Amino acid sequence: MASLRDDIAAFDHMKAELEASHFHDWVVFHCGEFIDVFADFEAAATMAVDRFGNGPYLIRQVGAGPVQLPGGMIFRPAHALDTGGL
Amino acid sequence: MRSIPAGFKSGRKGEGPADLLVRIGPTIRVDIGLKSSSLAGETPDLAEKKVKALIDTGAGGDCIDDELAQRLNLPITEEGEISGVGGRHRAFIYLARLYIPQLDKLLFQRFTGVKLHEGEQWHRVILGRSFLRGYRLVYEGVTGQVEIVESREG
Repeated sequence: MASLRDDIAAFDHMKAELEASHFHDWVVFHCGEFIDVFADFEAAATMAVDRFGNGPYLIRQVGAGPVQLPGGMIFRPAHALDTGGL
Repeated sequence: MRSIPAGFKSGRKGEGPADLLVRIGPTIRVDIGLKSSSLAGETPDLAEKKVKALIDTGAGGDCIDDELAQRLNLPITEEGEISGVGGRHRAFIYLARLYIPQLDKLLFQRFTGVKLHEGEQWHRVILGRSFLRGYRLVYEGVTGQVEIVESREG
């Protein structure tokens, strides 16, 4: 999953800039490169599938928090981990 | 208004519908895949049909079995960590389309990968509160009947 980790690293590199200018927008990264920003998830996902097929690619909402899962579990995206990333 | 039953009609081995609802939980059948093979405007035709999905009001987001997601070759769009009563472990988020025929509802969204099959769970998908946002859930524990109904406000 090296490509996705490259995407996450690229996101982390641009995180401050994205949070300043695109807070709560959706961004797509592929092969370690920023591709584009979208107002909603479906637009981001449609573009990603059309251009990059089965991926992997990173689709992330700028500034989003963890997702609550069943049984009291939560999903924390890599950028939100206390350890500072992957 | 469209609706879909999520309870049970009859049980086996002496179990009634109410017993099954306690043991298994509200369940619907869904189709899932990445791309529909039907034409635009037609009923979506996704790769995997009649997948058992648990309706879980205790979950915020939606989940898919990791093995099913990998078999369907769903794109991985995020990597992170799940933490909870079982400790912590790495997890992926997949992108998929999910179709519910009785509601004529097509979703195109993210699903967190969880080990449902490996954990010997009956369901392969979990739909949480984000799914229920547009519906009314009627839960009759005494009779074992559950219904998901379109909401006028949804």
